[in-house]
Amino acid sequence: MSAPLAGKVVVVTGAESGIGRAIATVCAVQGARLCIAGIDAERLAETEALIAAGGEAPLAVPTDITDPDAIDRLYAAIDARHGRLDGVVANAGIILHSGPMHETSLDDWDRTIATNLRGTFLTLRAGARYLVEQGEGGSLLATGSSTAVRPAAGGAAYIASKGAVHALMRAVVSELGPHGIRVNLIVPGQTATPPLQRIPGFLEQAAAKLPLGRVAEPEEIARLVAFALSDAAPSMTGALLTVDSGRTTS
Amino acid sequence: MQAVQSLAGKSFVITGAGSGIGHAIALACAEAGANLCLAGRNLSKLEDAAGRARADGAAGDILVAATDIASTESVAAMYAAALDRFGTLDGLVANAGVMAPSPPVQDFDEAAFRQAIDVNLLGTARTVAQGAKILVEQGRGGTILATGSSLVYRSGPFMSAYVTSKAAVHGFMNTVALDLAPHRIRVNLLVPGTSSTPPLQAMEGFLERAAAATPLGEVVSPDELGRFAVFLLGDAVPHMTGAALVVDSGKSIAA
Ligand SMILES: NC(=O)c1ccc[n+]([C@@H]2O[C@H](COP(=O)([O-])OP(=O)(O)OC[C@H]3O[C@@H](n4cnc5c(N)ncnc54)[C@H](OP(=O)(O)O)[C@@H]3O)[C@@H](O)[C@H]2O)c1
Repeated sequence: MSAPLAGKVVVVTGAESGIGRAIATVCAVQGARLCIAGIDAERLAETEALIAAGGEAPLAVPTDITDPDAIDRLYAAIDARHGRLDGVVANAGIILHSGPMHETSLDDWDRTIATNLRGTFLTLRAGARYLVEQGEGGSLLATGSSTAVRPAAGGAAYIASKGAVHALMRAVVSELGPHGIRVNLIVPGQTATPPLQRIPGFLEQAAAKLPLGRVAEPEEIARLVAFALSDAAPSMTGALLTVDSGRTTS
Repeated sequence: MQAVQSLAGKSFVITGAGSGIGHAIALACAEAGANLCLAGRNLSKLEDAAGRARADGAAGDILVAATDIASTESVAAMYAAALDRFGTLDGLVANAGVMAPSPPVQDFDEAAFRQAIDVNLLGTARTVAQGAKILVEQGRGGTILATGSSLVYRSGPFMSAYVTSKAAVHGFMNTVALDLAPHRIRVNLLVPGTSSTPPLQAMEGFLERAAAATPLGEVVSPDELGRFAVFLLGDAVPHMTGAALVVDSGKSIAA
């Protein structure tokens, strides 16, 4: 198998499980030198072991993305280990079952916005600063949601936070283009990951409503992310990389 | 160029394969090992493309089929030739199209408008529909790509016939994705921004001006669209359907 990401230094947040873990492992297999970040140090170590078993051990940095100092430490660690950066996958996020807007507690709202929007901003801002200063271009990705394009009832806080991430990514395409930095958004539909697997029957019911009749697997999203991080499509920026079994079209 | 994934053993039809984006898609698919039926009106351009693919070391079987997508019979003959040679079909790329400026709308040229609709919209629909029929009858899924245009999202003047025809292609592909999802046939749209291909190279200074107007400051290369098509035609992302994959140097999102 070819190594389309050979030598590229890539940071993935939320790498302790689900889509983030799949992105990190697939990128590692394709030759990237990984820095994995996540708030749950124990499960992050599992991802670390998983990647190390197949090749070069990743740099694992337990990180609370809502804390600017922690973000600074994350990029300082990458700089110390690799002295460069090629790609950022701002994937960490939370799904709280906060209910419809009129029942959403201020606490759920604040936590959702803090992680999904503030945390994504801090991750990307520091990554973009590094890439601009390095002056060799690069690739920024964030994980949005198909619910930001086609909302579902009962997740107002989550959907608002992801909608804001979509807008943030659109806003920076023109800012970073002149620096050769590409900015693309991953748009998963319902995907077989732990938070959704924990809700009894949720994924089965979701699958039944999808045109393809099945939810997506994290690994396929990861393969698309790896493609976007590679040099294969140097003019792709501002794109929505939608993997949703047809949800947003139907 | 590095093949991102293998298409070995798979067979595809590609229209508009004699030049530009279709040519690049054909070379990338050939490099990935696919069997290909290259279609377009001009046979000698197709033979050149096939020769180039073979010279580059294509492992698959490369067939050419002189085809006019404005004709239902011609498209049927193209699929018949492909099936005759390969036995089965795994997917298709409905890429052929014509890009020509339109007069300002007050000087509406109905004949030219009809021609754009007949080739770009009906030609794509014919190609997709006939290919879909084969894939549905085979009963083992498949993948369909068509070439849209980022002008559908961010238009320009004096392109009314072209942009209208492509906007309809976008709507068509969205709907068809739903028609074909129960058959596990994935339907996606490649949405290029300005790309350096013969019709635009022929327009003095156009590509330079277009490049300057994009956030990345460069036009799209047909080669990268070829690599992307290979990725989409393969099995890497089996739940991507109904997606519009924009490769436009950021143009459609820029201020
Ligand atoms: N270049 C861009 O910036 C750009 C941007 C967005 C979208 N696109 C789209 O990308 C596709 C390819 O265009 P291109 O830029 O690569 O231009 P191109 O080099 O002119 O390619 C178009 C191809 O379509 C074939 N074709 C035209 N009419 C046909 C017909 N009636 N039947 C069969 N084949 C036909 C042509 O071959 P023959 O003449 O031999 O038939 C030609 O090989 C088109 O759908 C175009 O609209 C291009």
